[in-house]
Amino acid sequence: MSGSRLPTEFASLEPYVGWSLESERERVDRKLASSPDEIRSFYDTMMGRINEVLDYLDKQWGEDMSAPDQRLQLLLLSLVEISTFVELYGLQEAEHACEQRRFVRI
Amino acid sequence: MGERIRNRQWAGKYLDLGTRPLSTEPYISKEHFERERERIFGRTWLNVGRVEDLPETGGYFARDIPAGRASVLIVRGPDRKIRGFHNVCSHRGTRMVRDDGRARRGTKILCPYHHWLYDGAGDLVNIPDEENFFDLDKTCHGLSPVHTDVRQGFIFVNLAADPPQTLADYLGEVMEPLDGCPFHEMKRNFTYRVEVNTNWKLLFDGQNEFYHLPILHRHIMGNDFVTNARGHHRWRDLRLYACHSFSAVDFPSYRTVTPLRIALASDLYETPEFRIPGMTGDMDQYTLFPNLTIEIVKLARTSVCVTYTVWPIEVGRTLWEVRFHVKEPASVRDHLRQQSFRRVSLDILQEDVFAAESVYAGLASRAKSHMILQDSEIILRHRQKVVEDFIGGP
Repeated sequence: MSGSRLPTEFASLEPYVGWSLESERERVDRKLASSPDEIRSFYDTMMGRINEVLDYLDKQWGEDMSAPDQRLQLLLLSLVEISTFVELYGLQEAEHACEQRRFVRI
Repeated sequence: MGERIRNRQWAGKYLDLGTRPLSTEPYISKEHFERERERIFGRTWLNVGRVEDLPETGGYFARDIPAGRASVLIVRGPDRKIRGFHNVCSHRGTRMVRDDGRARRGTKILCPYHHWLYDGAGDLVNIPDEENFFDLDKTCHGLSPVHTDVRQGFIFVNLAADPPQTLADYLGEVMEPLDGCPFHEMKRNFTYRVEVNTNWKLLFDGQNEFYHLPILHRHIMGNDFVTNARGHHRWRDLRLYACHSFSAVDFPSYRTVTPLRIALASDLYETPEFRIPGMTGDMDQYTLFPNLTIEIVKLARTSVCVTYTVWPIEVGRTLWEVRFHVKEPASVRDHLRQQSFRRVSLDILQEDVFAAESVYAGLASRAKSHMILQDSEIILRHRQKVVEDFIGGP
């Protein structure tokens, strides 16, 4: 890992910067390729600082966010992506559901 | 509230629909599907998009309508008027523009095959090597128009040469409560397409009965709608029209709360930043026969609209397009509330696709000649009657 890719206040999230992905498809792919333990660990770490992250980003919100701020925001989008799997499905794959990637974003 | 959660209340209001089981044949019969193509998708008004899809300065998009064996071009010309044409070149019949869900800017349409060129009014304006044709009068060879009209920003086409009803007559009063709906403020869209191995009517059915919500979707939204004391769904309101329908449901005060929802304050309903006027319940659903469903949802702090269009391909194959319409987010929390709603909705839709495919597979086996409907499933009964009325009996 080269230097800090996230805002310095959030250095503790640096190990999860791999979840900072530009496109929805990449975030979905990452979710589907990760183990329940990896997802849980990302979720717990992010939720541990969620209010600080939201307060911080709400202050930076706008068109000219810095690259580290944008990466932090993309981490939040990955958090949303995995949130239902952790919070509502209890880290179990939905038993009666079609494969997610069949929904093609256009 | 007590009144609304009574058992068997809707059958009594719509007595002519009866309470008998429905035949499964219309879902699986190829002959039935052929008649639907001709008499429903060939003659009724179909939603093909919204006015915001077209750049204001002019642009166009293509929409394939496999059940009508057609593809249409929706064009906004330099005069700002929206027109529809068959997506077919006058030269040798090429389908000119690909339906990829995207609008193109500009008002000139170029056929990729021999570069015949049309303008925003559908007129043929240039033919390469025109001198080598025989007595060709360009003014007689514009694009073939398709009947096109707009209501509440929704663009509809009718493939019939001479539609039996105008769009206004066809829609009647169903959309009136949406008259104040600020669709133009919800320009931010997330659109998905999914090809589903099912009959188009089963996607329609799955959206129009909520009996399954606390059961199939128990993990994702088991607690999110008002139910009776036994945990079963009841409509807040329901209106059945000549072809269309409206339904409304309420959210209870004890909706599912999760740590992320708390962080996003999406459990707080009392401080709305954006509300859509004219709603009956917390979630209102307009089903415009045959292919459009408009869902208006009151979320914490904000409101969103989701539209669904169904595009039958074969008797057992349907393209489903789902589109989330939201306001430009005002903060990171706002943005994440919208994204969180989108994520939850996709989980629900993945389960709905599973169900629609499972039912189709079950019906196609012909193990059952009929399906049994309860009172909350009355819209399915109405829909079957509408279909049968169009195609002239089973």
